[in-house]
Amino acid sequence: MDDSKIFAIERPHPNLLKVYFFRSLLAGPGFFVMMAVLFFRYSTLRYTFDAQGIGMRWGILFRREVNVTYARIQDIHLTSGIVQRWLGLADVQVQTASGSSAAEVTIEGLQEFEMIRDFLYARMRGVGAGTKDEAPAANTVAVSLLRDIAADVRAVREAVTRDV
Amino acid sequence: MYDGFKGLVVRLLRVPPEPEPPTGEQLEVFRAARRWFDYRRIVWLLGTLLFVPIVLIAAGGLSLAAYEAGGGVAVLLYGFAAVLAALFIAVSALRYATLRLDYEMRWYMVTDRSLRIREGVILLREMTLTFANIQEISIQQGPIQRIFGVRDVLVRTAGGGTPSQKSGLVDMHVAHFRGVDNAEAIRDLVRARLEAYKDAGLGDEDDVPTDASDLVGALEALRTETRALRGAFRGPVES
Repeated sequence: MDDSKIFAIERPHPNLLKVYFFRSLLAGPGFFVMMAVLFFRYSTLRYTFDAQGIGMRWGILFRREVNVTYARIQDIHLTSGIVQRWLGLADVQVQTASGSSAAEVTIEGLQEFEMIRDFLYARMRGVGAGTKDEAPAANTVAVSLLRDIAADVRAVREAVTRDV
Repeated sequence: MYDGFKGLVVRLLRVPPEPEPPTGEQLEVFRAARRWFDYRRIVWLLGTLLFVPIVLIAAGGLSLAAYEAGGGVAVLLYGFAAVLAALFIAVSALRYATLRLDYEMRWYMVTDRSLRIREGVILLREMTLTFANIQEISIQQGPIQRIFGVRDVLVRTAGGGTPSQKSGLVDMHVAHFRGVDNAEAIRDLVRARLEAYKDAGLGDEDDVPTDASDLVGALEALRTETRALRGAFRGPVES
């Protein structure tokens, strides 16, 4: 998987605006209000994916920013309605163990949703891909220290036995 | 006819055929039980039968009115009755087809590290969670489900909250194996795979399994050396 592609993601796909349009149509008479709100959401929405977690921020008057660490992810949902599938989009809903039933972060409007799901999944706890490489440093140090001690003792013995 | 309908729906609604399994070994895919489908079909049948007398009375009333009115109005009323009946049949058939689609487009995947649930046709839901995060497994069965011998298995992760409008009225922390006839087997499988994890499942860093053989090897070498050193001073050590 190409992580740099994910790290490069910042803006949602323009099709998200179309999804918002259809969603606003459902609001009936409230169309213009809802469309305006969603338009500003779309135009201010920014994602940041880094080595530790996901960040997402949006809003003009009321600004919001959500950050979630990969290791704290509890479960990942992929949901899509008909309109979203038609436009090649899906919501990636990321949940943590906090006290709400709704998702903490909903990554919407990205066509790479499957790639993101796999990317997040690979970083969730319990997947274990590649974690063995980052073996605990303390343990390695302890092993090498013990080996040094053994070498020292051997040297002492050799010195002692030679003298005797 | 159903296959044609299914093909059309899958193409038109762009339903991805089968979910990709999550990475991990020992993949097992569970499906909803045939008897669960039977159960839902009976619910559908009862619901449809409930509406039959209403539709009959409405269509009959319209026909009667048409018979008495005669002329151009009669044609209109007869047409109205026919449309009503046709609409009822079409909606019932559509509901049945959706039911079958929902039964067929449902996968419960379990690997050695995670599970993935995919359900839904119109609104597609896919959920992935790792065993490291599982808090609780439960099995539920209602009286009607008992007659059909099916159960629901619920696997929960941490996090609470009541289902809200925002979460689509479902508790998103629950992986729901709906209508399975091998609930015990699923529970045992999940429990067996859960045993590999000893932590609380609340976001602790992954416990990296350390290779103890290195440490033990080094310690053994050290002990051999120290014994030999002692022996060098006091003669051979009896072991």
